[in-house]
Amino acid sequence: MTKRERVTVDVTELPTIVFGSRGLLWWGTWGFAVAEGMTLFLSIATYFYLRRNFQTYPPLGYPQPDWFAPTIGMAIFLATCIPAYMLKKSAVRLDKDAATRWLVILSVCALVLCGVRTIDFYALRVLWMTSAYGSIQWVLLGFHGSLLVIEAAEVIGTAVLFIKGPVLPRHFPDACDIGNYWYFLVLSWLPIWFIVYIGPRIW
Amino acid sequence: MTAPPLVIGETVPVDVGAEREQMERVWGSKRGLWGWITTTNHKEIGKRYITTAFIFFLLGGIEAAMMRAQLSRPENSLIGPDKYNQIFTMHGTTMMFLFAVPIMEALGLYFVPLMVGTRNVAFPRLNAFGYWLFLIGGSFLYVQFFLNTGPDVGWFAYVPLSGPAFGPGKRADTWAQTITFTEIVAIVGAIELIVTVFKQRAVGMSLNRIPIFVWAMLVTAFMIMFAMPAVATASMYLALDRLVGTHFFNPAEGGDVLLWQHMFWFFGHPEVYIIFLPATGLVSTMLPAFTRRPVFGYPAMVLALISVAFMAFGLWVHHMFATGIPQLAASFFTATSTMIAIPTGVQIFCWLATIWSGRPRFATPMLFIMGFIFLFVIGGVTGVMIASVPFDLQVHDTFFIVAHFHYVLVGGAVFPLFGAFYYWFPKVTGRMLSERIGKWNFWLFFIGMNMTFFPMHWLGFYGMPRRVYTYLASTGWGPLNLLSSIGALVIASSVITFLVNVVVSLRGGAVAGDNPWDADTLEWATTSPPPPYNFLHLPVVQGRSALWDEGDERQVTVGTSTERREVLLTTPLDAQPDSRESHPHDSVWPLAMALAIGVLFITAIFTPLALPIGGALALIAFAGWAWPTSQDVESEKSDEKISLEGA
Ligand code: HEM
Ligand SMILES: [Cu+2]
Repeated sequence: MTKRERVTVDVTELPTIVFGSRGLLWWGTWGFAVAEGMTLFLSIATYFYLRRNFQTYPPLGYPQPDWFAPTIGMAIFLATCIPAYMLKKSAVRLDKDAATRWLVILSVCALVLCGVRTIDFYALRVLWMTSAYGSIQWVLLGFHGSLLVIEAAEVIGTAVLFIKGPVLPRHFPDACDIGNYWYFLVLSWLPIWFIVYIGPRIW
Repeated sequence: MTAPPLVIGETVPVDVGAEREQMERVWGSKRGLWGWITTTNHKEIGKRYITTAFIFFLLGGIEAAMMRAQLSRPENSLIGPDKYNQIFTMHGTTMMFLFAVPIMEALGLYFVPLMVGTRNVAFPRLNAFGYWLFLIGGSFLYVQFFLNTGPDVGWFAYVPLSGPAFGPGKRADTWAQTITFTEIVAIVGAIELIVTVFKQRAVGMSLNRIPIFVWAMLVTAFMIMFAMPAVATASMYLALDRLVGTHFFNPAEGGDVLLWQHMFWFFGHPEVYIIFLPATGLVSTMLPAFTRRPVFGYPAMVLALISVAFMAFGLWVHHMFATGIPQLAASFFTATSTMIAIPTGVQIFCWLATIWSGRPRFATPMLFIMGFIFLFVIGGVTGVMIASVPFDLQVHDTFFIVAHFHYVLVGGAVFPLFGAFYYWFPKVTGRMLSERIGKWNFWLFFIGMNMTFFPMHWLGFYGMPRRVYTYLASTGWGPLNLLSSIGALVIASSVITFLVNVVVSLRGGAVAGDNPWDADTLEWATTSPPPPYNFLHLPVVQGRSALWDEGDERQVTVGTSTERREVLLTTPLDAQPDSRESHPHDSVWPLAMALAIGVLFITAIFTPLALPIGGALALIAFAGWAWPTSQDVESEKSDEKISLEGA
């Protein structure tokens, strides 16, 4: 350590809490979303790859999946973007009470969606072990479902933290990123819902 | 007592002892076992990671030696067919998933924060979690192996051989689950690297100034994000087929065996570059120190890295030429496969130009670089040969392929890696490795490598298939195999020489000082080994060769906290200072989380109960991980400055 050092930058005045892409967690959240999105993309690719092995689709002897309930489910999914959006808004306002409220509402939404996902599985009207067709349908739902369950745990955990725990300033950007991830969760369900329940009826 | 804060324009006083002590208190880990378990320091984790991956290299090497012993003469009976199957599978799986990829990422996790001039990786607890999960996953594979449940289906575990119909027992499940472990670990590491590089670079280190190794790790991390999900998904299909009766790979029920090959190689080819690109980054970053000039053609190098990354995703089908794909597709993939030689060639010419126009000094790292260039070109040339379908159909699944990919992997990755060991060992330990022993190390490796693998080209031409445990004397393959096995002994002696060198150096090697090679990247701006906080004052970067361009005075930053852990965040492109973010404390929860996930993955092979049990454990670990401790409250309550800009 012999080199002389001279101070040319002073960062004392910089903020210590920042939102969005200025902070680290935003990047980490999208990093995981990209890797998970890639997995979903590959599962969709698998769907179309396996589809070539069947002359008709759904394969002979299998009923069309039920489209009605899952479509209602999709609507609920989309509707949950509203509490996610409100959560982000209130987090940016540093409004702890509002953020807590929206976290609780989003937690309830997450639980409702877990229920919706169960109905989605029934609506497939095929089991995973009856053919490759059933297998990929289950995996598409199941993979997205596991993301949903994990995110539900995170949202509920954060809600508990906001109610009971020491809320630190950095938890506001964190709550914001939960909102961002929620968008990913909802948007990534769109193509799967379409491919699984709607597509086979119209093409 | 803290000294009065420094201000702009001021020269840092010579006596910074008190400030160092304070930083040590804030950034240091606890002493003893507890500190060892809970640390989240990237250097501590990185060192462990590198050591663990190197131990896997030694294990894989022992397996290689056993195979070579068995093949050294015809009809040898050292190892039976069943064990041989397990051993080559263990060797391939270990070398690819537990050694090559992790050790490159580990080097990144150790050196990238130092090279970009920050104090730690972006998510230190996630980083610790990644290491523990790696350790658990790797140990799991070896425990299974010793219980005679080691995988025996080859490192790419083709179905139907690995499927439920032909792979009874748990051997293939062991493989599939090892993959799940290692892919999660790889993705975690990739996210660390990406965020650290984008957000934590030193002030002034704009994108066009980051060291090429950092570029290489960044590009590699992106490749990991897109490649690893493919093999993770495929191995999940495989596990589901085997454990709960799905039919992804069962043609009788509409499944498809080629689906496996597509998914595997969509990962598997990029994998080669995930191993190779960091190695090229190591070379480009070491070269300046030994040629006394910046690397030739920095922009070309970076563009080459990026274009290799893109192209690498468009060639996977060349592994499937023998499966009867349509001719047009075959031609397409031949074209893309040969095309990737172009950016790779650009890199090679840039290195040659650097050496040519510099003043090369042939210290041990430089020898390994020269060896790398030589061996990699051979491997590259045979690569272009097998990209052509008619040729490939002749040598497919023969020892020609084994020769080819070892030239690429050993020549292209292990040689740069050993060079890197010699080059950075002083930074990590504070002591130099012996140059004299190093020369032995290099020449034994170089000679042994060619002796082992060059004859395999001929064995391939003579028709010797890979993955056979023995052969008849009448084939005439005996002498070349013997030569190859002797070569393996030479390699083994070279690796032992290296270990001796390490021991000798740790016991009393020459003390290194901060910058023994007079190199130009930032890791050499701090002490060897670096303190827990890396830099007392974060550096400000003036040019591409940070330490050569700064003149005789280093510019530094002040104003990050000395009272709590804090990192400086900068803008992603220009690296202008943007915020100071508080940084997590050490924690035992990453280990707990890794254990929970370990329980989940391992018991999943035996019972679906794994899901609720492992899930519950993970939930507990997650709560412990994220819940603020009193220490967090202590260090974060005070005077946070909140900025809503950009929200
Ligand atoms: C350093 C000395 C090494 C020796 C002597 C060696 C030797 C061998 C031999 C003899 C085989 C062929 C076995 C067979 O097909 O019957 C083999 C396969 C293989 N090796 Fe190595 N190897 C070495 C290092 C490495 C390294 C560093 C890597 C990767 C980074 C590697 C990756 C592989 C892979 C992926 C296979 C294919 C396994 C399979 O067929 O499933 N090897 N090795
Ligand atoms: Cu390839």
